Amino acid sequence: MKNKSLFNILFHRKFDSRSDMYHFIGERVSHHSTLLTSEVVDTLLQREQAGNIQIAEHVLLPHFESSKLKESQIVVVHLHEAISKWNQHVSDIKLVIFILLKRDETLDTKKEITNFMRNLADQDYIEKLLHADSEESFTQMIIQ
Amino acid sequence: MGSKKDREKRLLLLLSKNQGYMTSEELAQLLETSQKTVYRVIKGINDNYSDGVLIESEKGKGYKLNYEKYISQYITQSSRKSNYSPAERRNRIMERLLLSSPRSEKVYELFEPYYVGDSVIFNDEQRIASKLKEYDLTLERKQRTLAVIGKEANIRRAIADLIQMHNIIDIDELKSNQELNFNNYDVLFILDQLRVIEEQLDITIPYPYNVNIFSHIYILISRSRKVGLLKLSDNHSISEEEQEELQNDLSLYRVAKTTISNVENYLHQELPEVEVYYLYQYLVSSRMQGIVRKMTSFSTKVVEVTQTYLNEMSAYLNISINSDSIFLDLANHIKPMLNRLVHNIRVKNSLLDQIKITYEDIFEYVSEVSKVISEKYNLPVINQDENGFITLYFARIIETNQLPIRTLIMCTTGVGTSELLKVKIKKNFPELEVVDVVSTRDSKKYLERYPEVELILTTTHLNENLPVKTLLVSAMLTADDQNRIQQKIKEINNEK
Repeated sequence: MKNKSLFNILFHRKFDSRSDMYHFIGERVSHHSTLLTSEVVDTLLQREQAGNIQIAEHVLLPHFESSKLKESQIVVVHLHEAISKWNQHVSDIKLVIFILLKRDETLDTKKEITNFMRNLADQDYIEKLLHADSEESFTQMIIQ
Repeated sequence: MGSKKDREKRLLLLLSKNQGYMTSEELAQLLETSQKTVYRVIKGINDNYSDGVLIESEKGKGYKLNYEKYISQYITQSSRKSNYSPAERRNRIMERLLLSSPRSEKVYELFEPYYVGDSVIFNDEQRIASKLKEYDLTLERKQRTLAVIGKEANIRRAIADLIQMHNIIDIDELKSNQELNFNNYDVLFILDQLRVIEEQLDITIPYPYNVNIFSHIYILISRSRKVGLLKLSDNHSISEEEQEELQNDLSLYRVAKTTISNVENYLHQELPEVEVYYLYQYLVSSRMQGIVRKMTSFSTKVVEVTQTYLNEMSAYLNISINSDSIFLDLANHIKPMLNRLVHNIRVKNSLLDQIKITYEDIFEYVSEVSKVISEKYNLPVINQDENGFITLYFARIIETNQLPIRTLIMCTTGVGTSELLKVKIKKNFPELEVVDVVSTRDSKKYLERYPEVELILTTTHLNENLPVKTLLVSAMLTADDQNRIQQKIKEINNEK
């Protein structure tokens, strides 16, 4: 059984663009940390510039590590409608998985994140996530 | 060794192996000669080359082979016929004397085609005599005639070494090869015999053993036609000991008997009984492909010798070799090799020069292990040709089992895209060993912890300059990513 508090699942959410989504995450994070919304957004944008964050067709994995985070989180966002143009190179995004890692996180939590990552290397698993039709089944796929 | 021709050949080989430039200093060192000689050899090659230069030079860089010219030249060079070099002339005369031994030949007739003077003839005689001495044969001079005197087995051994068969790799080439000066009917007859041998045993005899058996039968035919082997004093029947040996493999014995009787019919001449034994020796000394039933029945000696090579070489090369198929493969080579050593049968290794240059270290190690094996098992010296063959087995082992490349995978967090990438890398690139998955922030620290790392795959751009090869890839591991990783692997393996 997975540690439920690590995961934040948002099913069938509507976001118009990258900045819309990053802003939302930034605000969320700012409530639970000493990070400002703009800091979170900047960090995410910087990561995107440093290297491609796309991990499969329709799927992105923005992630960063910070000492200002109080706890690590995985935020999985299943989009109600695809974001047709994410940035210059990336388009048609339906699933965004945020990894927000607290610096010097415990080994147990890191392992948990790692296990989830390994699942994401499996194209079948990705397909299932993309095509999930209810919040319940979607959550189950992730938590169990 | 060390002749001008030989040096030219080795220099060209060295340059052909190297894709970039080589300095005269490097060349001199590798050829164990002076830089001056290197200049001279290069000049000699270029002067003799009709279409510009074959070896290009550039100030500050050194020398480089024009590969295209080199390749095309290779093709035309081998069809050169007239103008024998002194060494070729001596070889041809020696061959003629050996084939007609113990009959004598007139000096005048022997040397006539070459238009040479008395002093050259005198010099050639000296050299031929000293060469023959290596085979326990003597050159007798009587009233302007020359003759080779010695045992039949030694004469055959000398002829076998002399005939330039080792340039033949495809046995069917013998049908059309003009240079060897072979009797075409004989060639077709012998090729047919080889085919029959293969059919009767239901096997194939691979190169170079097929060429070796071919030359044995060719020499047998030539000798018996020239001198009539039954008339020779040292022809003898099969001894008891030899008879016992023939019983070891009855199917080979049967085939040897049939083949010799076919040769007798072809020559309209009876042959000494012992010829069956001689041919049998060649057959047991050849590697045969397709004998499944024999795969597992190696003698203790074969097993021990094979195991010694594998153990010693794996220690030398610092790799573990413990696959059954490698053992079987090598043991199937060692078995006939031990027979060759005992029967004094030499198989020319036409690739020897190339092997020595390309796999210098492996060849050296193999030679050392061979020395130890010869002493330990009381075997005759394992010569360079044999060591060359064995070298190829280990070169192949290394090439197919190249050590995995130790790899670090990085991303900003060390648990995000990098972890994902790790799974995909493991699945797609077995030649990469993922040592750890870490965050780019601590890249330097991890390089200190894993000093043996050869490659870093990262999903984010690295700002720092690291002393290891790095490659930026996406966590998607697209076809383009895979291609670039493949290229890096090649690069790293080439540098090893």
